Amino acid sequence: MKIGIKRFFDFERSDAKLAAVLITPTFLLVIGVVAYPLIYSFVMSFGDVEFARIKDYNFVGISQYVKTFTDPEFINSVQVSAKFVFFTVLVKLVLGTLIAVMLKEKFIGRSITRAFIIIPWATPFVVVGLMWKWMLHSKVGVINFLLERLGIIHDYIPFLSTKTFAMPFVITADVWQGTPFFVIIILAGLQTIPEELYEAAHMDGASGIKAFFSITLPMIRYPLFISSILGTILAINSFDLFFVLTKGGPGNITTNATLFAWNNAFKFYHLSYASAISYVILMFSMLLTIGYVVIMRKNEA
Amino acid sequence: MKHSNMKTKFYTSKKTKRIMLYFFLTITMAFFLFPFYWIVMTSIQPKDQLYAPTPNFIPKNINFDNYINILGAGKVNIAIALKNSLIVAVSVTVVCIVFGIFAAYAFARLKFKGSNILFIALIFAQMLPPVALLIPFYLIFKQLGLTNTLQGLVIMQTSWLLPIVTWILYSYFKTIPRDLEDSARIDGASKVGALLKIIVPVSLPGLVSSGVICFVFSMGEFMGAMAIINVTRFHTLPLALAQFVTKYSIEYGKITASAVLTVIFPVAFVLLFQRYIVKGLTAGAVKE
Repeated sequence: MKIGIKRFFDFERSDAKLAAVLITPTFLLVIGVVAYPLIYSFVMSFGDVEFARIKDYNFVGISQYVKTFTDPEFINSVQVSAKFVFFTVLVKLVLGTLIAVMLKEKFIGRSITRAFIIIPWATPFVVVGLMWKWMLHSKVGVINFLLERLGIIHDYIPFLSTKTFAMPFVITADVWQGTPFFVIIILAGLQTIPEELYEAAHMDGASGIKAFFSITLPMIRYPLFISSILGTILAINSFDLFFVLTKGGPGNITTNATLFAWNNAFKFYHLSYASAISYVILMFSMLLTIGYVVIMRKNEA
Repeated sequence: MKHSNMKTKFYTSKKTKRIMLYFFLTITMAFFLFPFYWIVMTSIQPKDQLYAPTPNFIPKNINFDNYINILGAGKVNIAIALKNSLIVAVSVTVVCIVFGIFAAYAFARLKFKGSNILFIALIFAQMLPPVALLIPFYLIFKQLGLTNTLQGLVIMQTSWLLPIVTWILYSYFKTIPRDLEDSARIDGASKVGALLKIIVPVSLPGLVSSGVICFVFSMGEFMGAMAIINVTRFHTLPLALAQFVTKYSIEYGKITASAVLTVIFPVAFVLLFQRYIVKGLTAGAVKE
């Protein structure tokens, strides 16, 4: 027996044994805390479980899923998510690229600027929400104050409870937090472009904006892809910011799919319906992840 | 004559370009840094100044009452939340690094069946929407007695972070030349010995960067914590802060002071280890 154990722990002979021991903790956790819950909620999404009668599971087939596609509230939340994802990722891409191009130039204070630009990324979303909520305050908010001083508005506006402005400002706050991540990824991509390419283009009379479109953009297409996909997945899952800034309001103008799922689970206690909604969100994320893995593999090869 | 003209034109265009660069950089940095300035400003002013019609852009009479207030036993006890957050964040970071080193080494160096599929499974686990896991999480944790415990939070956050840590460390280990390990092995070190004595020290930057990423994520994690914690005693900073905003929304002095305390550790670490983090975040995103 003793010899058996010794032989099992003889890692020098077999990679597989050592690998098994080394990856076990990670996979136990990931299986226990990710895969098992995933199956759990999958089963739940085909039932009719409510929090009040939690043990009472009746199989109802795909009717929760049918409900999602006919529920105007859910359809609205998907539209909110789509709008949010589209604008936040687009703005981050454009701003991220412009800022990265600037930060690639040589200027006084470049390294400190590069360091400081990461700060928003380290800021917890709850703090981001609160910061912007305070700056957007309807009576003493600094943004109202500045806009009035500049003559852009005449009266203070309660931005976050206004149908027109609630969503744009949630997006603004998210752009503020998320752009630095895009900058970092894109800047790293920019730094791999050999300077000779620009010199050659300059000789051919193409520089400035033309060189940007013919050299820079094509050369950073991979970091742009990666940051877009990661940014999209993050934006689909965005919750904290909505929760702190608007709680989904006014009405349901800013209730995104994730917040809608949360509300159904932890506010209305429709556990099965919430599971079905989460599964619809999950399918979207998985499709994007497949795209991500495919692109990454292609790049590695 | 013509020549010198062209030269001046070239010169001015270069100068204008410089001025424009500085101009846009200033706007950019103002956009990203002003919100910080503003919450710090708000937190060190007395209440009556906050609700004045014209806000102070430069503080008039600085005082730290708000900080003293929130750290004492008030309505929302930030000191406890700060302690809870730090305990959870440090534990999560340590556990993730240790398990992450193991798994990353296995994927980077060892040959075993199914390593490809398992690695991709990890990436998928990383991308799952947390909201899809929360209901079963809550129910399972409740059965195990892990709701309203800091251990529960540590387990949950660790499982969310391990895939990304494994991935970052994997891409680090891949860049370490095999010769380094081989020479140690020839000198008689075992595989595990070579991992601990050679690979781990060499990949210190990768360890630091994934450590900071874990810490920052853990300090800010909100949705999962809200699902499994509902007792003030076990509130982390984001929970305490959210409760503060909902219940006492008028007290922006105290709210911003709490926000400053929430953000100060992640920001300090990120600034301190800035270079490593950039490397960690761009692992896999840029072709080397």
